[in-house]
Amino acid sequence: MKMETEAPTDIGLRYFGKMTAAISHELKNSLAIINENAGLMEDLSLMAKRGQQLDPQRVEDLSGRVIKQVQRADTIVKKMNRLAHSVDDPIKEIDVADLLAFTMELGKKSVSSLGVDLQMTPPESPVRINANPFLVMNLFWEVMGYACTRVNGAPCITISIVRNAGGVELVFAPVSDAGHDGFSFDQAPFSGLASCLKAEILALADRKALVLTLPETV
Amino acid sequence: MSEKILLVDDEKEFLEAMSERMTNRGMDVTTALSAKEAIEKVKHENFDAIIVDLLMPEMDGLEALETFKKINADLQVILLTGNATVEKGIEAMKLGAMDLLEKPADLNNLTERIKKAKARKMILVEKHTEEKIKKIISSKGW
Repeated sequence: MKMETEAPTDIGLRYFGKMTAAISHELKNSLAIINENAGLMEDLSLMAKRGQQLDPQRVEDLSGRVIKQVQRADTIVKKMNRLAHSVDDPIKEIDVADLLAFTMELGKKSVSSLGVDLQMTPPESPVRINANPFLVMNLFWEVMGYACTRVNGAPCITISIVRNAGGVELVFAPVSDAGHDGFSFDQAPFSGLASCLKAEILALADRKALVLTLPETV
Repeated sequence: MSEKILLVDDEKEFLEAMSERMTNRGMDVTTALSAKEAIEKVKHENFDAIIVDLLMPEMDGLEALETFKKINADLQVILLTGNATVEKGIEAMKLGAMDLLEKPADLNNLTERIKKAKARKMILVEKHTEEKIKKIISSKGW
């Protein structure tokens, strides 16, 4: 079955929406923990007013939990800020491993809901390309999502970053269709995005791998 | 009699704080860090209400809700969510959820829903018992 190609703007908006929804969910979780711990402090204070002894260590533990969640929320907001600023420059020097790690971190909860773990094997030395950071993240995410639904029971996908003559290769493995050794690949849904970045996606059925190639300069 | 609650969330610190506050209010709270763990508990114990997070790794709240209802159709399930959408709410209700609350939830509001859940469950249990008695009486010809 041939899938329809999505315009890069549509696919980009969908990605931006999905990531901001995931971020807001994570923030809400943090706020919920702060809310419950503040509630517990209120409970302890009410009990103390009724004559029950208040353990200072308990109060210290609760405030420690709140501080931990404030730090967590601050990290989440920093991630949101980095995502928002990824659209600032049309072309920018990108450290591929750093941007891939950030994309994986942003989508961690969505990926884990598929029951798949993603791991990265970084290159020996940093590999840099010149491209649009947001589009590159978007393409990483689409290929990740495609690979995660074709794991054929494997619990983990490894993404290896390898420098090549003209740029960089990202090898996603193992990838295979259920019940098959290899897999059929139709890149139509994100072919528009790939062409914007002059990227190529190859399916290596014999190696059960999907290879994403990006040029040094778009 | 205190309400018997199963609280399901993958956030350990949320479970700890929420369960302590509920226990302070006289509820009997059991916790589970995943939907799979909760399903095992539901198979072996009876609960007046299950409060479950909508978004969890491996199995989400909606999938868990479907499984709970297959195990025991009378179970009263309240979903908690960090990002409620109208679509998710409708889907949850169609699958038999009693309610969908947004995080951070107000404990007084949640307590009210839990009391309602317990009352609804009691009515369902009484109805089933009455049906069973009627069936026995008619089959024995008394």
